[in-house]
Amino acid sequence: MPKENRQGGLRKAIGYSRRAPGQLTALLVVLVLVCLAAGLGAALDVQRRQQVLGGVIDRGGPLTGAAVEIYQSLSDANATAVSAFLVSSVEPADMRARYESNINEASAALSTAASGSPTGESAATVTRLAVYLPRYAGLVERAKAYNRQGQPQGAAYLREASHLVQSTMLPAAQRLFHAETTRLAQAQSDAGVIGWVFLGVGMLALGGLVVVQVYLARATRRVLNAGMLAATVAAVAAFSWYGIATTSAAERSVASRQSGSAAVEAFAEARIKALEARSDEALTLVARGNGRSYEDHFISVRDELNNGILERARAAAGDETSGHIRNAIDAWYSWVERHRDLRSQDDTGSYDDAVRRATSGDSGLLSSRVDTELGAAIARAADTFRREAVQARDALAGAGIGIGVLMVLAALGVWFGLTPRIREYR
Amino acid sequence: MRILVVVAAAVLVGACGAQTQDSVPVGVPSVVVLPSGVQDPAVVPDVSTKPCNPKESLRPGPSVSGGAVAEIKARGRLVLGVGSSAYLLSHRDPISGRMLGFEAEIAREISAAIFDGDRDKIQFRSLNAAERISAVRGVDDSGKPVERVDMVMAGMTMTCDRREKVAFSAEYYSAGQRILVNKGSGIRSKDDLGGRKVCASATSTNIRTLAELPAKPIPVAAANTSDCLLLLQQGQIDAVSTGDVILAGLAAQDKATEIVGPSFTEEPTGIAIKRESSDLVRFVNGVLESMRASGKWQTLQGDWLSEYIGGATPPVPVYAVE
Repeated sequence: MPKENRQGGLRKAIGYSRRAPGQLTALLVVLVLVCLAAGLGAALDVQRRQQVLGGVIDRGGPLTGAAVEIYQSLSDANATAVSAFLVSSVEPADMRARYESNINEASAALSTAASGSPTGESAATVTRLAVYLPRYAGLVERAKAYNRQGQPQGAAYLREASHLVQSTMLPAAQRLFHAETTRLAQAQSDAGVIGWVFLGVGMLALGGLVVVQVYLARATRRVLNAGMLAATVAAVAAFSWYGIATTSAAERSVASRQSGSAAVEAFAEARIKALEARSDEALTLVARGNGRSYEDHFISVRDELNNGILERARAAAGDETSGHIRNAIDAWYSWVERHRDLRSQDDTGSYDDAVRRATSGDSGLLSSRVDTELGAAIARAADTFRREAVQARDALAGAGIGIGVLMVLAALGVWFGLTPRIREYR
Repeated sequence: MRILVVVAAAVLVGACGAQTQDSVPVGVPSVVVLPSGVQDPAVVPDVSTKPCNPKESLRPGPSVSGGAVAEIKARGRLVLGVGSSAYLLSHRDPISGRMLGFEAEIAREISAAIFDGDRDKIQFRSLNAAERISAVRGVDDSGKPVERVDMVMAGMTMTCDRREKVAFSAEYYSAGQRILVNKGSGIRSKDDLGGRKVCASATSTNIRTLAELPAKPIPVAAANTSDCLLLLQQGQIDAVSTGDVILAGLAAQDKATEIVGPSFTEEPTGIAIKRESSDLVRFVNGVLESMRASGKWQTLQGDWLSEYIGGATPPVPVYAVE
């Protein structure tokens, strides 16, 4: 194409756009695109938030809950199996029942964890735990079979089973718990951010609509343009909806973290340590004078609980849970005292008295109470978490589609408001 | 207008779009479950080059005031290290909670001698094989203090190497290393062990013996011999090889195993006592002497062991020239 012609074409285009119909057409296109883009962006943002919150409710919550449950039931199953070995004569029925319900709970929690669609490392951990669980149960049953025949080979199987739980399965359950709580906290903080970006875009679109109407009013001397007015109303409605829905969802999400999952984490940490202490007490006795490493571990766990973990649990407790946490902490301190008595009995040769104290005496009762109270607090906090997270998701219900439709209506309003004006110039 | 419809459709589709999960199927992990403290292959313990008569002990004598026996008496109980669940020798009966076995009964004789006929002034402490010498001395190899026991009676072979660290009573049983296998394994003696995994307790003399066999088995060490039986039952090893008395206790708990081949070592078994407590060594030797003389030793051997390894006569004590 010759150079002159092209320059001529360009000049002509500039000239056209300088005239009113050209300007209006350009404004029409820009406004329609801004409305659609703002609507699309806000709708996608709402949809992303819904997905994050859905993941928090359907995946994050159940997975972290299942991880705690797996840890708790395995640890309790092992402490119970070990304690049952200490009791002379036939395994007591209540211990048998407690062991079995723990194995059932661990199994159920593993299938909950698996159905929570864990990813990556967590999926591998869940699979490993699922592979180990029947092996563990098999070893314990074999230990019991030997025990009933009065043969000490049962103790070797019990040691192997206990070693599997202590050194492989519990650390894996703990890793799963930490990975999933970290992921959950991340998702909750993602959903807890207020959408300033799209609120800004919305203000921009609204500003554009107002400016064009002022311009039209001056250019045409008609004060109101019905289409443009409708577009403005739709845009105001869309972005008010966006602002209210996302802000309230963000508040709920923060609440679900603070009085829900963060409390669950603090309580679960205390419960895990208390369970470790309980296993240590039983294993020290089973080791029969050779349990120094277990008693050392008990002491280090005790210090961790006394110097921080219990304080964090107390701080995290809300109105619903503070009673349980107070009871748990009281029971813990009494237990530590009873434990000291128990150890001095064992160390001075009163082995049978120490065993009685650990299995059916005050030490056993107090350690059970610590666990029960912490378990109740965790259940309460988990309810709060779920309630707030569901409310956060519900706050966004319909907002994505609603905002999208409203902004399409705004774009239509712009179209129907400006096309007659453009036609007037022809 | 058509553009609007397309964009609106995109908004709606986007809002309802299915979220994608990035979960991946996980392969079946390979899982090996072992008792704690298994070494495969085993660390072979060093052996002393110092010559000695491993069976030698001190001539029986009375307890002295201010000595180790007086200390036990003042404390009110004898603290005794025993093996972990050594059936027939010393094990805790799961039904009654009592310690039972040949060694436990010898310990009761010692208790009766110290405490004027009270047979049960004993605090049993179970020990893994590797912990026995440290427990007698009250310090471990790195010099760290550990809880001390007055004596260890846990099928412990008297060796020149161990004599440098602890004293031994006179021999209370003459054991010999043999082999325990699954019935029908095809292993008939030590010559069939080439390339096979054979288990004994960690730091025991049996590991060294296995490592030096001409057939070249692969020694595997476990924390104690009951773990060896467990590994055999789980198919993780091919044989257990240790003193015949201990093997008898394992075979008695599993009818699908058998002890094969002649014994290929001489393993004098003694009670380990702190070197400084020479009055306790003499006292214990006096108790053993009277057990042999009264026929008590023979009765206990008949009660606990003869059914599994046949009758035996008490070992003849060897006392050092003083």
